[in-house]
Amino acid sequence: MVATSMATTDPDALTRGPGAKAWPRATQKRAVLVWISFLVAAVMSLLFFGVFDPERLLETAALELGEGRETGYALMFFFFWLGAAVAGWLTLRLTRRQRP
Amino acid sequence: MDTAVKKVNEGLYRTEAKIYPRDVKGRYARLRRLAMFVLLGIFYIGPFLRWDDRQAVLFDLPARKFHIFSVTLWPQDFLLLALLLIIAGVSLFFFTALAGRLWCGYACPQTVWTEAFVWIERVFEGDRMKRMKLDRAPWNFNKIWRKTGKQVAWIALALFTGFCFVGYFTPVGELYTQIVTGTIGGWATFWVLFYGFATYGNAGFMREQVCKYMCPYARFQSAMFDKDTLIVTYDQARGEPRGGRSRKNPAAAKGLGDCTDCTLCVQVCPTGIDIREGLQYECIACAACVDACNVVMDKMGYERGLIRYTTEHALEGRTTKVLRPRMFVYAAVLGALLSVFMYSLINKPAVIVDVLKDRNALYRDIGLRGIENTYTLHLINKTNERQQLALSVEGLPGIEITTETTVTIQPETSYKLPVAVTAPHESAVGGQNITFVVESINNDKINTREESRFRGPDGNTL
Repeated sequence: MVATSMATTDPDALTRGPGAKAWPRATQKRAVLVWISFLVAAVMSLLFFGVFDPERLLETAALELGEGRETGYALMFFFFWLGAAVAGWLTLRLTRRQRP
Repeated sequence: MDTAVKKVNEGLYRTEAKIYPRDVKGRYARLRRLAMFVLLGIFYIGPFLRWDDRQAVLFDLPARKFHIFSVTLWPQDFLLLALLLIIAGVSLFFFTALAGRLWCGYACPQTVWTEAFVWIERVFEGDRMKRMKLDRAPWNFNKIWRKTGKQVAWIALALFTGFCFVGYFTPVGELYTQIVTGTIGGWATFWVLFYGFATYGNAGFMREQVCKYMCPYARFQSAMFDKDTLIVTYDQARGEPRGGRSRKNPAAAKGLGDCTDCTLCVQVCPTGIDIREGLQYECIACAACVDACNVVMDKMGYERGLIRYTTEHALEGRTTKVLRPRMFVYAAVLGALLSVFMYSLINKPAVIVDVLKDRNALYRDIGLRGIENTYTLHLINKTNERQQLALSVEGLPGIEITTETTVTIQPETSYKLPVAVTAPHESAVGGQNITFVVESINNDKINTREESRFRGPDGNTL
């Protein structure tokens, strides 16, 4: 890897203008959490509904969740999203390094 | 190496201020713009194309049918979908190993929509310096109308994007009518707003942050890199020591490398890095710095390509091997998957039959006529013409269907048919395999077979 820093000028001074606030570390973590769980939920929904019919699932569930396949798709997608987000959040919490 | 790792670790969650990428002209900028027009064009025009009296591309989720031009995919074609996902993954491996982050620089929706949103921003607020100045300026009339105009255009584009996105899942004509008449359903409204909001957030605000912090591919792609992978890189040997100089005074360049330290490469970078510090994971290989640097090289009368697409091997003065084992492996896997996909797509059965054995009774003794089993045949006609199907059964001597043996199924529909099958006592012993044969009467190319079990009383096991 060619990576020796020889910068004679501070590149940050050139690229960073005034204006938007920087993202604090916590915001970045939250963004990663939300985005990655979203992507996982999208792929999971695709695979899941390739096999299962939401209409039948809603019937089987016997819950008053509303009618039609659209509801089934949407609810399951958010369920996946929530599940992935919870797993991600717990992972982040549990692998957190102690502050010195 | 140590410095590189440290750099990345520090950079990972470094707090960042806003990046104002400067406009750039050149070969790669044209290529990027072309990619943007083609890809966005496909996306926005897609839902409005027609094919045989229906929308050409429609993922009809409520009906669980995907129409893609002449092809209609059913849930039974799930394997094709799974294959397609795997093919997409492997081709990403293949192209990454071959040409680096081509995907990131030219084809990723994040890049493409960001490009479009930055273009709108440029129309309203001007190029880099003007934008920086405007952001510093107090809120006067000029700033208010420019910022408002940009937001209105952004929101309009984002909403239209959401509309087109939902148009892939709901017939777009109906969707339009529903919006105009205010009868649009809850979920459709929600998804239009959801996708619109995601576009606005990702392309208008988060931009390079998505690539730097949120994208999984950006973090994993280095695993597919080797020293023969195409990367955007700065020729350190040629450029250093860098330094400013006047074109009119060649003596000033004495002892200096070709880099004039004009920092244009940094200013045009959408992710705000300095390519001269070496290969960095933030680099999406968009080659904006290549274009910017070439302009300066031309002005100075130096040779182009101080920053260029090259490989680490080429930079070390060795030859770049395109045909290397890794490429053969990726290509072979990709080729095999594509062949299986194409074969399955072309030979997709036109009629599908699923046989469900009746669970209530194993068999029924119907006296002289023999032993009867009952089944439910789930017949699916995937063609766009009506099919008259003839049913028969084979596998045991004297076995036959005693219920209706012809059935008509409307185009693109499925049908559940109860069927009784009878076999004489002497052949109906224990559990045995039988085969249902379904043949189309109006199209002799369409036929399919499905295995099932036929049960009779247990015979003498000796």
